[in-house]
Amino acid sequence: MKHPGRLYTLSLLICLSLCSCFEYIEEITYTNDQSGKITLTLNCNRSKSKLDALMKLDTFMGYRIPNTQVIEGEILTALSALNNTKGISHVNISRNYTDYIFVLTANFDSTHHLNEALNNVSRAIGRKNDLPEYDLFTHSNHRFERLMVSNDSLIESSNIRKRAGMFDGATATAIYRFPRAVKAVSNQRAMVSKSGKAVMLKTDIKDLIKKPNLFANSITLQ
Amino acid sequence: MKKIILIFSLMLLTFSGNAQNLYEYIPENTTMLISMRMKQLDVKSKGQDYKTFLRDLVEPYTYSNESRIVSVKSVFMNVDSFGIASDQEIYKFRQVIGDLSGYMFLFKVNDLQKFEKSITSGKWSRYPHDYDYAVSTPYMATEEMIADTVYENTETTVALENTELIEPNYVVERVNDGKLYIAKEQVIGVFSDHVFIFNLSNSYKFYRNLVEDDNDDNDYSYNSWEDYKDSVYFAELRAYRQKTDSLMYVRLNTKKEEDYQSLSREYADVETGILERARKRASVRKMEKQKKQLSALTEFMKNNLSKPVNHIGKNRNFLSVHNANNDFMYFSQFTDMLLAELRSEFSNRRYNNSKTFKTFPIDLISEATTLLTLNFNNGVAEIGSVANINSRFQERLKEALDVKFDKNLFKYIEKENLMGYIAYRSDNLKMAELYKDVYVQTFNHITNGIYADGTTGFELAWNFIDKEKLFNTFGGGAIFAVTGFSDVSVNVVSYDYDEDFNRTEKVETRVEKQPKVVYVTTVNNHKNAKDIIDILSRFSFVQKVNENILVIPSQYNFRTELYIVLTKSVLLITNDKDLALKNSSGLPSSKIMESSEQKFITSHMIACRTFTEKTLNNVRNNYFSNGGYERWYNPMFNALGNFELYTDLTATGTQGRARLILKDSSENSLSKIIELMFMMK
Repeated sequence: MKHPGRLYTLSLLICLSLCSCFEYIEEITYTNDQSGKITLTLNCNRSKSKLDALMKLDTFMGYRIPNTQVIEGEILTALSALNNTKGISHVNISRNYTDYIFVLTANFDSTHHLNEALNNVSRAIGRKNDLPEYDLFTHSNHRFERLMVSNDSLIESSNIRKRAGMFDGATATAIYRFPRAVKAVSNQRAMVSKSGKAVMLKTDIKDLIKKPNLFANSITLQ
Repeated sequence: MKKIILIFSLMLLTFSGNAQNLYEYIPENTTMLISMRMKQLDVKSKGQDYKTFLRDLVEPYTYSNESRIVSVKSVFMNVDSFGIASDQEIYKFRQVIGDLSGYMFLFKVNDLQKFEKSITSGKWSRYPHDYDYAVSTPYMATEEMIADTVYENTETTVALENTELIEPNYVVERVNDGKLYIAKEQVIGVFSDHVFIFNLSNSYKFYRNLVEDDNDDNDYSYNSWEDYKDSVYFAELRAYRQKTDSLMYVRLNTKKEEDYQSLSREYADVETGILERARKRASVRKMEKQKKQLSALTEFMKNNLSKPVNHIGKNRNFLSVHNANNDFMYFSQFTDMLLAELRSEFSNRRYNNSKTFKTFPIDLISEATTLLTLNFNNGVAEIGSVANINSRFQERLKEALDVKFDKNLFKYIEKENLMGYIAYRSDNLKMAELYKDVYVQTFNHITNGIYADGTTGFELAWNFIDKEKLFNTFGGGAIFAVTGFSDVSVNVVSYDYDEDFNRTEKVETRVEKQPKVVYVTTVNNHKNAKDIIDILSRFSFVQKVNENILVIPSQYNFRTELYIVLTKSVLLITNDKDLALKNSSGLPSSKIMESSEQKFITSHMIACRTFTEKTLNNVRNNYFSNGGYERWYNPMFNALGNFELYTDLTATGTQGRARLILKDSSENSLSKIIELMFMMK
């Protein structure tokens, strides 16, 4: 059975797919072994023209196009979920509806709190439905892991798979920064910075839809 | 022999009695009528659920739906279950009987027993009763009370949810040759040769005149403090609270350990009982009021429901289209409909009490009728329109449209990537004068001249306007066309990363595709046009290319440069830079739109055509060059041909046609369109 929350998120993904070209950037900067800052950026500026046109419509190709008020409502829901999560502070979501750039920043006390915050947002936006919950990140014993999204996730949805071609040009980038130097990375596509304390992984969304493990990474720290 | 002749005559009489047309039950003065042939549509749709797209047309949702016996939507979505003769026409029309008005559905049924059994089974009354006034009102009142008494409302809400509802309730009344099923907002008539469902949309005046208002809401709910204070409920509640307050005071002060919250809940349970009694009283009063209303409505319907002497079949405009076996037909007595709608806007007491009532004629738009037909034939879906107007309006319209289309305009429409266009011709000045007269006449007529001084003032102001400059500088003819796609430069924000993956924002310029649009119209007065261009050039956001060419740079949401070009004969507005700067005197004749298209434009008052194949290909190539179009492109490309629309002047008005042509001329257009609509849904 399809969850309404999942359908909503699916429709957002489809809207993104209609605008085709967007950039998702996931940045986590650890200030010590426990706490740090997360920055999530969604930059749809390249598709501004299409989004300008789409935002004037109620539906397109049978899909409901959320208007600014609806998107703003969801952002406030997410903001409230984050603010109400223990161990999360300095939450901010900047939104630029002219250039379609949205940036979420928050500080977290531990990776556990970060996972809980992401699950809380997922639950809140998913209309309190029973969405699967994950610990997307683990960080212990000098090892940081970014898990792949499991098989029953949205991105694995057959509808999205069929539309993979529409995501051409869209990219997802992950940047993780640590106070310690990086010893090894499991994902061969990942690059280690010159200082040795940051890892970047960039992939096309189109490929990510077909192979969710492309974004998974296990980073061993010194 | 005489007996045989008598029997034969009786048979003939019986036969002619049954063979009468259903539309004879529709009064001639109905303002709006829709007819549809469902069996025909069933066959053409090849079993696909086309009715899904008709739901709101059949019966839009209103609050009064809740007090109806059946939902008309559910009836027409399940014609077989109701025994309706879908091979015959089904009519929906505006019906007015005295103070009652609404929409009447008229049809024949194959099986009267089946129909009656279906409506009395109750299973087709599909409106949820959650919205029932009886429930919502006490709930709101309860919230008021809660705010007042600080009691928790859990128990109270549960009690209200179990409220026994009295709607829908109806009476059955036998009349001459049939039966009437009467509910507060719906009357169903079941007769041997026809059945009707009359959904009342305006019954306020009827009930206000026939049933006295017994203020049944002024018990536990209230419109004013005075009403509430006088209610039995308030008296009981006040007495009870005085008592419980004293008891609570004693208990709280003698047994210090008592919890105030649980004590409050204990008393709240009893208070809920007071509310319950009040609710029952209101329920009984509501039942009594409803009985009175139903009895009045029954009496009224018995006395006033009769076959109209003048039926719609006497209207030749209606009959000529009706007999053409259309899938759908829409007929409106436009003037009556418009005036009825507008009058209702001015029908409140302030206007009615005015002493300056006067009759103002509406000689221009009187007797106007509109007919629309929709037919799904093999290879083409076609909408036809016929508007009949009176000779005075016709004469003025003819004058306003007596303009030759300026062939110079074709020079600006490039044929190579032409995706679609709309062209029209008219004398703007004469058209504006005509509209002004219609507006003034109609306004004075519907307001009975209350604002006659205002409209006279408007006419005075109109007299001072330089109409030549306003309406006649440009005009005569115009074309708006989409002629392909052009490249435009846009700035986009992206990110760069340094060697430690710290990001910096960068702005880069990239090329995007934008539709090329062209609007070109005739210049009637070059001096006036030049004055306008000179004034426009002084705006800060406008750049002057030369004396006759202006450009508005891209800004805000408008990501393309817009050129305004004035030549001796035309005004051109376009985002096609080449056309504006290099071809301002027109394209070479080898590049301009096909002569067949030119002929199509010059031979109609309004002409529009879209080239589906070219449009789909252009959209695919420019916006979906990397894929993602397969789902919609192939089915649409394989099915759809061009779309065209045109309107012409006739001896009695105007007539128009809109045609969606399919590539496969052997396939029925309804089944194909429904298939595409489901695919896109």
